[in-house]
Amino acid sequence: MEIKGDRHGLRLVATGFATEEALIADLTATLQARHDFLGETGVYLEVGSMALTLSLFQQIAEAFAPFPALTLKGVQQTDSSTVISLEEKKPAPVPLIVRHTVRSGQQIMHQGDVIIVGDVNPGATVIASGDVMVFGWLRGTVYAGQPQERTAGIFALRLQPAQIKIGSTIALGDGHGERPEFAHVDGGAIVVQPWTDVKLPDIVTQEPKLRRGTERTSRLIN
Amino acid sequence: MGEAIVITSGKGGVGKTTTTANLGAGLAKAGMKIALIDADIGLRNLDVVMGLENRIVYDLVDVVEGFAKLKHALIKDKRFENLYLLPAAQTRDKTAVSPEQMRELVGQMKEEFDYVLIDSPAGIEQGFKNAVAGADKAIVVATPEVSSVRDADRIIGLLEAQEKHKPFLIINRIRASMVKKGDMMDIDDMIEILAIELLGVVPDDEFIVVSTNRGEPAVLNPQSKAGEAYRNITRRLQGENVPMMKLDDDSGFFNRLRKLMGFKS
Repeated sequence: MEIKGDRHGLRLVATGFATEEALIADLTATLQARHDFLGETGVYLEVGSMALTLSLFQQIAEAFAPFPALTLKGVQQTDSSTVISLEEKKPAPVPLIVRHTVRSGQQIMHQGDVIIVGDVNPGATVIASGDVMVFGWLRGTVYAGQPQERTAGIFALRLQPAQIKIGSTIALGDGHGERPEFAHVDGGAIVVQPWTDVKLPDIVTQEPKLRRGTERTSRLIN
Repeated sequence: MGEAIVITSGKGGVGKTTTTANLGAGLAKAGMKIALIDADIGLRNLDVVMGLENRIVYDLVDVVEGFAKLKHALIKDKRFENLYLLPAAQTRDKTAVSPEQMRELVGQMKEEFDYVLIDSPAGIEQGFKNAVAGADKAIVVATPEVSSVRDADRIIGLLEAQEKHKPFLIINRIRASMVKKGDMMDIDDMIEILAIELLGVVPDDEFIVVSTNRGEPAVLNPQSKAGEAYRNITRRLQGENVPMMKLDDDSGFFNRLRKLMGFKS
């Protein structure tokens, strides 16, 4: 299997295979042998004239699964101009908006981004394929960019998580977090930065002692 | 038509039964017609705390299974004409009744009583589901411990999923001296996480141990701090606006001295 580079990026050229099995076997062998060379990148796969079936996609995805550093950007037939791009193929998923506090034992799972207007309490879990934004206290466990989208972020007005995971990178909370912050992956580690490009009503940015006794509770829960 | 309130917590040993007994006695003292249901089948306690254990003839399971009529199973309290207890069965377990049966039973009792207080078992399984089934409102009891708050949060989530009236919170066994030193979660921290309406704060009080063992609810004792807190809670339950009790730190030397010398602060 050849590796070519052009203006679209890297491309694995797999022409002349008679069966899907043979292609997958060679793809697996190539990835095994060359993943160090390829490094952390996105690649296209060119499959000659093979029919682009669902089973082929599934097997290709499985072949890529052990190599989280490699992102499969698309699958293409050599003689046609149609690139089946995995990025474009997915219809933009609708974000899920949760208008209540996620409590201990509750789990929210969503394909796409998740926006929580309320807190994520200790013992609660949120899992999303995209970003997670918490307009409140994040004290529970949040996984963003699952299973392996390393560009996803986790945003919270108070980021005090038990544990967070972005793509396959995991980090434990340190119990601090007194201002709006977001977490993202940088150089293989989770990095937390101030979340400054958000203008919030005073009521949510005030210190907890001042904030108490307001109608916040009912506003968030109901 | 009365109202059914379940007293629950998730975690065991935080004071559900004590709270049920005290609210029951407090509301009965205020002249309401009250029934207490012990939903902790197999581990019944409420009868002991009320001092009624030797009067049990029939129990909740007997009523549900049709062996006894409700009026025969209800035990009248020793102190109040208008306070009744429906005890749990001790020889059975939580699967002996279903949520549907509980709903029907509680519905029937609400017609006769002003308040039906249901003492829930610990846990989130069948016993909890039974206890919650017939209730209109819920009171969640939590102590100032991280584990208790975590479990209370879980319970509140389950109650919200059932679209019950939003639960109320009672914080039990708080020690002003420990909160002051930062050794115990404070009330604000707990409300911050649980985000439900606070019905009352009950201080840690040795008298509760005495009253539980004697079967005399602390709410009836004018000396007891916890009793005072329960009296305030019963008034709030009836819609009165009662300010929160000031929690005094009575661990200081002078306070102890004053206590020894018999001054009432």
